Amino acid sequence: MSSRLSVAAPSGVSGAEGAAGTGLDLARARELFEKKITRQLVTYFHACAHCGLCNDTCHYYLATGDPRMVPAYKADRFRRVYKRYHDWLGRLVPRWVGAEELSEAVILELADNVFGACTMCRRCTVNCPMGVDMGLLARAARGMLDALGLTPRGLKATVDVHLQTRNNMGISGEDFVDTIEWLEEQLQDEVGDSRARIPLNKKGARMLYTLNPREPKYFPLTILAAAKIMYAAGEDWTLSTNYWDVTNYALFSGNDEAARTIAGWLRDEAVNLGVQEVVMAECGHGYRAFRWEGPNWLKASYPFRVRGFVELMAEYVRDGRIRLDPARNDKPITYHDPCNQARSGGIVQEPRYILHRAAADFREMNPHGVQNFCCGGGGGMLSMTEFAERRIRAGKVKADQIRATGAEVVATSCHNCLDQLMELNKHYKLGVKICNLCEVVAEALVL
Amino acid sequence: MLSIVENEVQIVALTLFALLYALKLRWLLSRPTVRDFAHARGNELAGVTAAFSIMFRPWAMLSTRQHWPRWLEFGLMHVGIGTAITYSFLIPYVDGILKWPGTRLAVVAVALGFGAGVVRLARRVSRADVRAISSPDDYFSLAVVDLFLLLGIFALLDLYWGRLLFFSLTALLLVYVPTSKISHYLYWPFARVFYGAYFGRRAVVQ
Repeated sequence: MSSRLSVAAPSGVSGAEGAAGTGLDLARARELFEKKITRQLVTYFHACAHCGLCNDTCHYYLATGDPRMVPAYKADRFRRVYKRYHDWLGRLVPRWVGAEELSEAVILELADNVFGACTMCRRCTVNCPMGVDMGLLARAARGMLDALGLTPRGLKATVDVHLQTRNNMGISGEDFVDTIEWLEEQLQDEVGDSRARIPLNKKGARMLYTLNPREPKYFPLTILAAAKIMYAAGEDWTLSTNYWDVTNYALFSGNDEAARTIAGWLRDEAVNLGVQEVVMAECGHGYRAFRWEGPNWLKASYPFRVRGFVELMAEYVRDGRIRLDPARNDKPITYHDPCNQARSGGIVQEPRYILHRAAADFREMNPHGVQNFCCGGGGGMLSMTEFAERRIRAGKVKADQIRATGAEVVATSCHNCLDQLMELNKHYKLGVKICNLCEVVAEALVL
Repeated sequence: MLSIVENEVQIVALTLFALLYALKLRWLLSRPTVRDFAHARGNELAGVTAAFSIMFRPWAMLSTRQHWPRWLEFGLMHVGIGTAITYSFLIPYVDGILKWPGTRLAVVAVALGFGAGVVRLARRVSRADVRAISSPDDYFSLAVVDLFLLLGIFALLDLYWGRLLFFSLTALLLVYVPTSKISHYLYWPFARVFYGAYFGRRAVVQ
């Protein structure tokens, strides 16, 4: 792992072929850096007392023991640039406070750190006595690097495909409609009702449901599970063929302009259909991006409500709109909290409320909820294949957590987590089944 | 000599201290702040309240729950610092304060703070993970604060040379603090407000 931290590390960083002589425009870098400095950032640059309490909150550090994986160390890769230009001692005697001039080496090491060694999970943030928001610092740094063309290729390609095709996997409108129509037939068979529908573009529906492109592409049965739940609840809902993607990888690349465009598409489609609510499919970052960051990128509150599907399912159960039989999920099951939902969105009680009613043997990981460990798949890490080895290694903490529960099933509410957990399952030979929470609920449905 | 160090020198140093802090605040407040447009799920005020009170509730944060001796060190050291600073104002202006029985308690507080500070310095030197995040300023700041606490003990015991050295160092610290990492406490209220409002609004911190 340590070798990837050297200056020559960002071999997978787009636009940075080799470390030396990359032709980085340092004046532009400085200009971009200055633009990123908000009041919050200034506060977090100065507030860190280097106490070291964040050390063992980070799954990268715990998995490797490498001091360079300590969150404060990683944040210092960005902080040292600030100190060089805006700290009195940093300007006079840079070495005294660890300040560094913006140089190619500094920028490339920063890129390796914020893209390849931080999932922006914020576990260090909620355990920092000062409340230094490392996630915010990392995203600001990523934004600067993105503008310099230093976003890793896979992550950049995901955002670019999204901007070009209006979904991050480039699924055509025809394929999307075909898949939904096939799933509608499946739904009718499953519930034994030929009137069961997966509505498309229904104006005035109460709720617009969004999908992760991985669902129509690789996991269509997750859509079926969600449709079954909404059928059982008698929900007035719709999908949109015009815009349906829940994801927004610009949250990870730090590109605010792209993030704004993508969030704007969903906002506009919800307004166009006249829905009262947008419900985000089980996708941690997608939920956070649209529910919490979207209004800030768009600089306006939405004229509708936004919730995660987990919240809606919990409401269905609480209001008696769906009935569940826990005996149908009799294997021991645990739940992995997606960081973007729990730590950056406050969704902690809802999945537990559901699982206590949908499964016979629900077991908590230790720790869980807001203190849960990142699985290692956050921050867009799955799209950055150059960091795959590091990602799997850092995921050992999660693998150990899962093993300790003795669970045979791991449910989660995020497709990035799902993919990472599947890889961890294989790599660490956990022998568990990984699924979305809605699949557990659909299995327990009493129709 | 002692009178000048305890009075005039302190006033000059305090004026510089205030000026430097004012400049720091001016820079901070000149930067744009981020407004949150998302509909709240939780309560910002509750988040801010929780954020401010969390330092008094070590059980409320996993890191301090797991490393409670570190929290204890933090508490002892900061109580010691607070006590020493308070006495740097009381000694020159409150006659007989050093003869007051309560001062014995203050000596204990400053001594405990010194002990905690030494432990913290030892950790910074001995542990690779803490060394990795330490700059010369981190070592020096901790060492000089430890010295401040040590001299504070002697000053509170009313030793002439102790008072002279304590107030001399206090004057130097007043100028050094705003330029060093010790100034982190100036940002603490801002950090707590930003953190509490952000996570309170999202119902993560309540």
